Amino acid sequence: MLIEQIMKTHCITIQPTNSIAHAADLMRRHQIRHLPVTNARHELLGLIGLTEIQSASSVFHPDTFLADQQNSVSSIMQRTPMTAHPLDFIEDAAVLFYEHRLSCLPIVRGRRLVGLITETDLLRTFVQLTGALEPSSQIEIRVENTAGTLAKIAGLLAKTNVNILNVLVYPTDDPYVRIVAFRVQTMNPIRVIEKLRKEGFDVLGPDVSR
Amino acid sequence: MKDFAYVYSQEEAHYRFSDTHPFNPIRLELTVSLLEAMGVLDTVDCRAPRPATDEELLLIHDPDYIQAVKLAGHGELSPMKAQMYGLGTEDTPLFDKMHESAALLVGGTIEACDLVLSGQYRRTFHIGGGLHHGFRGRASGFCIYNDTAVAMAAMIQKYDCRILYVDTDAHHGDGVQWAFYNRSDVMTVSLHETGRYLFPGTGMVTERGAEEGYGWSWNVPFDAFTEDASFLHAYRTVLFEACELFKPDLIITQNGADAHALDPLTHLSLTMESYEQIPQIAVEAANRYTDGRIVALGGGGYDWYRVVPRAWSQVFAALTNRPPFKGDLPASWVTRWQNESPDVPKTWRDRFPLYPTIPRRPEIEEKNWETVKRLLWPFVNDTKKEHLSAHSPYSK
Repeated sequence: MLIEQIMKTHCITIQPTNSIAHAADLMRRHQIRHLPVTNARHELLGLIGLTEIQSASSVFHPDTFLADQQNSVSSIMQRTPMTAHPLDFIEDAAVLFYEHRLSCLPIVRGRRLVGLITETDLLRTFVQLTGALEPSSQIEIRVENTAGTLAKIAGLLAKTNVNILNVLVYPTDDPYVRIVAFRVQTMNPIRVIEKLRKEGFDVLGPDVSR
Repeated sequence: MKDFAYVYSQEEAHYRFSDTHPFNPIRLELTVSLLEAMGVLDTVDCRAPRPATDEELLLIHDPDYIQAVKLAGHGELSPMKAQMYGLGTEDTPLFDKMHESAALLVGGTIEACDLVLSGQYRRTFHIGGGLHHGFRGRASGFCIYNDTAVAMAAMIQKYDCRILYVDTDAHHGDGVQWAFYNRSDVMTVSLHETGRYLFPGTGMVTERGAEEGYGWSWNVPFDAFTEDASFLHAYRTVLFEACELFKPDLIITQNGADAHALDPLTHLSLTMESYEQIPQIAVEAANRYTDGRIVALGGGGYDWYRVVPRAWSQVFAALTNRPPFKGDLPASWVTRWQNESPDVPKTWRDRFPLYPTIPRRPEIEEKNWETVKRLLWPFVNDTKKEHLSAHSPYSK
């Protein structure tokens, strides 16, 4: 999946000569936490976030607050923010967020700002990838970590006329054991579960004791 | 104004997928015959449903989807196209005249609501309704059309009213929730088993509605193996809080009976005690907040013989101002159905022990109560928060 598939393309931006007060007002009105700073050609010059705005005035000197807020955006913005390209993989972008503790990543093509992704966008995308937002039943199967297991399970499911929406494979404490989680499009997965159990698969379910 | 009417006709049994499909109209027949055997049907009015019109269905459903259902019911929809609309699947297989049968159930719910809002009756019951998984353009979870969503949209158009929808089916009432997710004239409250191991997987506390509808979508996902006390305490608390905040003109309840311990599809551990109390509490809320106006619908419930007829009869009891039915079931009913199944119960209450003791009970109860608090916290004031915390059943 590429960044251009999930990025926001209509971003609210601000100019470097605008005041900090204006930036704060924009964020409040649009309920956002970051503003890319651009020039008239829409080239990215910097990034300003809530943190920068908060650090621009001191709670111990409330008398200078209004004057402080009249300083320009360019005086406090991050001048070399981390950026990404619209054709980058979102997995790579996710690593950037994680390693550099980012909360917002401007997307730039040929120096121009073309979009923006935030940690919220990334999280939403990952939730979508799990299939959790579509009506389905989840079937979890504990399997040995060997080739061909997934194909065998998929083959059994194919015989039941039940559509698979999503498959996730997650590790366990034991490196030789994985859990395969299928989201299937049915309200009645009982027959599927019975079929899997009959073939010797360890299908997980709710447990009264843990 | 009369007190009560039920909406039913034998033609509703045409909404039938196959002999082995869990959603079987025998459930209606079992319930009606039990009420007949009790001798309680003669004294109340019965109204036959009429099919919903296309205009009514279009209030919620897409025109191409309605067209597809019509074609599918006459064998004229290609399997490829059918799949696109969730038709011809394991859950909603094709059957003859599926549009006509599904539209009749929708019409029944519209009728049940109209009888109340027009002032003819205070309370109505449509056991054929409650198909809460139906989506705008797609069949899902045994539901073709969403009777409740269509009826609510039609009622709002006609009467400009506020409707509180309360869903105690074990499955999340997703179709109804999403249909009104952005609207402030309907509040949806769904209490269900968590989506961890159960269809449709949604219904988290965090699904609170969007835009104008923010705050008017409530969800209480219960842990697997939740028992009567924990369920009823959460239900009563949430229902009365919802009424206080939303101030509805009408309450509609979806009475799915699949949270019972015996239900084959789900993992909750309710007994008949819950199914006696759920409708009694709903009527109590209606008496306090909506001048008694309430419409009750059926829904899920896949243990046809042991659970559904008793559960839905208890809904009837509450709606006709009776205490829950008690003691033995009528012998004539038991004899009639014993030929069909070895499972026919003989008493209104369950025979205990119904299930083995659940070692995790304290943890499950605590977790469910935390869920209720997390749901209510953004909407209640500090006094209420203190009250709720003090009345936690599990801090003792």
